[in-house]
Amino acid sequence: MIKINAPTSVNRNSELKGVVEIGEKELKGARMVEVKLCNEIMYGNEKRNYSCWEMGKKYSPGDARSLFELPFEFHVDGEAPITYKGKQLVSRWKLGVFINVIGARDRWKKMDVLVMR
Amino acid sequence: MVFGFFSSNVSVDLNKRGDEYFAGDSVKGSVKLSTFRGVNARNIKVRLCCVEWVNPKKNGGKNGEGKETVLWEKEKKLGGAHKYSAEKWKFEFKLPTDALPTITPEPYKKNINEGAGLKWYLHAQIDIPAGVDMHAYKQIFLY
Repeated sequence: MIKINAPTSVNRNSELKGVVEIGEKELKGARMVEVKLCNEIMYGNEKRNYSCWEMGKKYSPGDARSLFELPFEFHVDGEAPITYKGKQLVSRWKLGVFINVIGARDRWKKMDVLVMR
Repeated sequence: MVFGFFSSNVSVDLNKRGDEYFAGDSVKGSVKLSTFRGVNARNIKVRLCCVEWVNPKKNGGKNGEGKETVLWEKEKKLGGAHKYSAEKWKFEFKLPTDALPTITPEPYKKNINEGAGLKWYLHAQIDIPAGVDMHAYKQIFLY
């Protein structure tokens, strides 16, 4: 079980706070746990992401095991891209938990976050 | 240097220091023509526009791949057909109250022109009959 408890929207120039819960099974073989808030900017039909906006917090598997909930807090800059879908341009934000596992595929969970003006 | 001395150019300046605005603000500034010999122009205009843009040059893209989709624009004519000497024209645009904010692909780079995003800019143009038009651009950042 990977669970993200966080608001689904945030205003620019404010904090996005939340917690992540990860089950024992998902932590098996984990090397590192990371919570990231990432922006994607795409134009037209291209799959390319032009955005460099990204915030992250890393936890050791030990921390993830000993704490029932992993807290995180990201400051969304006042100049950060808003969530937007226009004629050609799309800007969206995703909040994700990524568990890097030794010798296996990473485990992850993501959710959309609306970043508003 | 001799070329520089005799050449003409156009620039766009804002009345305020900085380039940051909010929806509903007035964008005030001036278009300045610097010329030694005078410029025969068909017209002089300035426009404020909001565009979605992409310019993928950054990672080895070729020139000319940049694209813009205009979302909003307003144009003002500053002068008609005339031989102009060095001159300055004032302009003012009112930003819509629901103006979209600038979307910049990199933190701390408000006026970046590589990547993709949404930007607002002023474009001054001096239309030269049977010649190369003169252009000047000034990007503004909308919160």
